Amino acid sequence: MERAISSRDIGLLRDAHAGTTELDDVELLYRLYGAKVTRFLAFSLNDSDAAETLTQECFLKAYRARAQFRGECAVGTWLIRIAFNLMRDHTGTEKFKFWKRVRAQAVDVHEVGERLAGQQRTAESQMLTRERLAAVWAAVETLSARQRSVFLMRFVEEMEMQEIVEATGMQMGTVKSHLHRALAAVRERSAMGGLQ
Amino acid sequence: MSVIFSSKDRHLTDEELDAVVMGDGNAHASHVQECEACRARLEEMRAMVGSFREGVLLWSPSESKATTGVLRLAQDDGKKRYGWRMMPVMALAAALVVGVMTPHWMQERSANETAAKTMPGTGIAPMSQKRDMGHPQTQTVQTPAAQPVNDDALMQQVQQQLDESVPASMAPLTALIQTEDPHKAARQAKEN
Repeated sequence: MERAISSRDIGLLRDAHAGTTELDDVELLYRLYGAKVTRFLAFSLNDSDAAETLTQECFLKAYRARAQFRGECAVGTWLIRIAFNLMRDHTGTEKFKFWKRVRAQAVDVHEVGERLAGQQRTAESQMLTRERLAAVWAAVETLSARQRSVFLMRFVEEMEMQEIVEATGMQMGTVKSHLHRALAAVRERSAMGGLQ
Repeated sequence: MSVIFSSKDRHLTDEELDAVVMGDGNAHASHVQECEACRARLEEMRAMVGSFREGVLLWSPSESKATTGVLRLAQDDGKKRYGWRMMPVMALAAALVVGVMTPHWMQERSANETAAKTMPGTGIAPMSQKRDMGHPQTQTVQTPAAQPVNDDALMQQVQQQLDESVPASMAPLTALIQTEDPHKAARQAKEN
């Protein structure tokens, strides 16, 4: 689960919005947003190794570009935007494809499902939780990388539609289209699994 | 003739329901409030997406590995940046060293050249060469009356330094070099 935001974190955000150099503290920045960025990349790429590598690049890029951050959006949104652009730039390259074949480490959704089910009280709710997660994940796997990223931004990171537009550089209509496609896939999978 | 139904007259389509799930379906909010079937569909979709979100949030990367990598990269980057920032400072320092030391080095070089051109037997360069060799800022203007006195003192000092630089055991050889007649030099060495 996301950890609580401390007063120092709030200070970081305030100072970052004020355009000061608090973003110089890359350790704190990573502590606050590292999991968020890695998670977004891991589920977008379905590759935890690639996610770790791109997360490092993301924070390095953010660290280098910290002077350019004007606080026009949340720090987390800014980082997700950098991560999305990195993913777009890297995933098409032959080097990345080769490296991904060699090191691919898919996210273990089964393990995630077990952990999530473990939080439920009854056996029935545990099974339902596992099935729902599996159905959505199966649907998400059928999406393109961009559709998946948009879906994760909206329904996992809970970014506003306008934030997604800013993070991806897509038109609002395109974002909505990707989300409709993703939800249609989820509905289709849930119907197949007898959940609806 | 087609009949256009409003959302109050029928159940929501999948697209309309998706718009509500996405947070973009305010126009259908009142229907969802009133229609139990559509509300159930909406809640199921939200439960599906909610389960997925909770599952993803439970997943955590190997943080120590990633953190180490991020910090190392940032530190490396910091070093590179520091290096670039230091370049103008280092260039300025180099320029200062060159500016300050060049006259000194030139003085030493001229002194060596002068020593090489010393008059046989005296080892002393003409003072006309020495007068132009000092640091521009430290060079003093000498009056014509004081100049011969200073020149004599300087000549004595140079001679003394040259004498001191030759060990006593090597003195006979020095005498040989400074004298054209080797037999005469040998006699002088014996006398010494």
